[in-house]
Amino acid sequence: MGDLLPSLDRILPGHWWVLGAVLLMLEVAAPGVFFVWLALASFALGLVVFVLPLAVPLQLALFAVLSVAAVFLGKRYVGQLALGGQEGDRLNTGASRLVGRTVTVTAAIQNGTGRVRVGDSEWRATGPDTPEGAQVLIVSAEGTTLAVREISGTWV
Amino acid sequence: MGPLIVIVVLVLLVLITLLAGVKSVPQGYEWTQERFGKYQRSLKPGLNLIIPYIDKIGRRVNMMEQVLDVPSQEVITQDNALITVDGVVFYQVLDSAKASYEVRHLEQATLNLTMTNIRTVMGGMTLDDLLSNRDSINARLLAVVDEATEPWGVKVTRIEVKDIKPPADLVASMGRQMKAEREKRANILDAEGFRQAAILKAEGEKQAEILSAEGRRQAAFLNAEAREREAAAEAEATRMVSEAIASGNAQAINYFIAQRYVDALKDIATAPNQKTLILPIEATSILGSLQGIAEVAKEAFGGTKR
Repeated sequence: MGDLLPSLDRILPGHWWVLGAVLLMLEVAAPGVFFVWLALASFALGLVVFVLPLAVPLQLALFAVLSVAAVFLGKRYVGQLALGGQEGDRLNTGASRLVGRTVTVTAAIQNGTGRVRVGDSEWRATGPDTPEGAQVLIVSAEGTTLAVREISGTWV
Repeated sequence: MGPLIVIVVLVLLVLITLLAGVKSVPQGYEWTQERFGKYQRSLKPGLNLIIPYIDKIGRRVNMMEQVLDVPSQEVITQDNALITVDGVVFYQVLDSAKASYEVRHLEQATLNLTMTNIRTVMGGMTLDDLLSNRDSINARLLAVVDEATEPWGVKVTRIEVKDIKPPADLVASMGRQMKAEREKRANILDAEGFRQAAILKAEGEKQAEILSAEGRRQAAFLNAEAREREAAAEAEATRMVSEAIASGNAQAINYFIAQRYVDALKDIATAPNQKTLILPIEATSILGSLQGIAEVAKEAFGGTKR
């Protein structure tokens, strides 16, 4: 049994793979997208050690290097592996989801600010001076303020 | 052994560094990143890398629309009714940086702002207006609170007053008032009905009177006309008779009279009361009459010779 346990002078590829598996389980138990990179590094290191046995200090150093590499590579590629591209971009987009909608001015825009009705709520709007009741187009959104421009021909 | 310890420490350091530098933000949240305590940027959902030891996560801001329950509070209306009001506020953080650093306790601030504004708005209205104009109350509250929370990067999407509870005795008198209103209406309707019925009855009687008078008048007219016609006919008959007499013989009249006379006698004779038979007193006059009849007969049959 003692031969199976890793020691400071001898670490086998199997030890790294077991460590990878344990880290993966930890990731499932406590998701934080942290252990998974270490797990990947462990598996990769296990392969490396399987091919060419290295000294233990070198293995440990390589483990550190591989972990960092795994994080950076993951950051670069995992996001693009998601099915259907960036699905999450549809959510929590704040006011920018309103861009392109035509809305009615409820409080005349004077000195650059007024209010417009969007759905069943009112938003602060900035844009050219516009009388109440006019139709305007939302061109952009900044925090809680919508930038609007007039639609030609809706008011005289 | 020495280099080994160094290596192990190094590995641990790398692990801790990774722990500090790799941040995955869940969907629906934004985390603010501070460099030496100063706000740097907001981390969007997904995998984010920050510089370990220099950058720290400041606040974890919820970017979803949230609901705040406005607890019940007592408000005095313009007409001095003490009512209990509660409500609900829906708001959404649109700017995580402002929501983190422009205001200290965002929820508390929003809540207090809403509560004080509920008091302000409702204190300027009468109870009846309150109960019937919830839409306008909501709109006014929304306008004020939304304007006030704008610097905090928060959009208040809606404020609803949930429950307006007047005190129990007021509710009871409201009920009584309603009942009285309905009873008043019912009584008025009853009276209206009686009035209408009386009018209709009188109308009917009037019509009947008029119609019967009309009938009587028409009948009188017709009667008079009939009498007139009768008289006219009588006169005509008399005229014709007298004309006939004038142009013919007076004996013709005698014939008629004799005929009547005999008829009358026959009537008397065949009367059911046969115990008495009145005979003409004077036989001579009967004879005379017979004489007259004979004369008439002679006249009529052109004088038969005896």
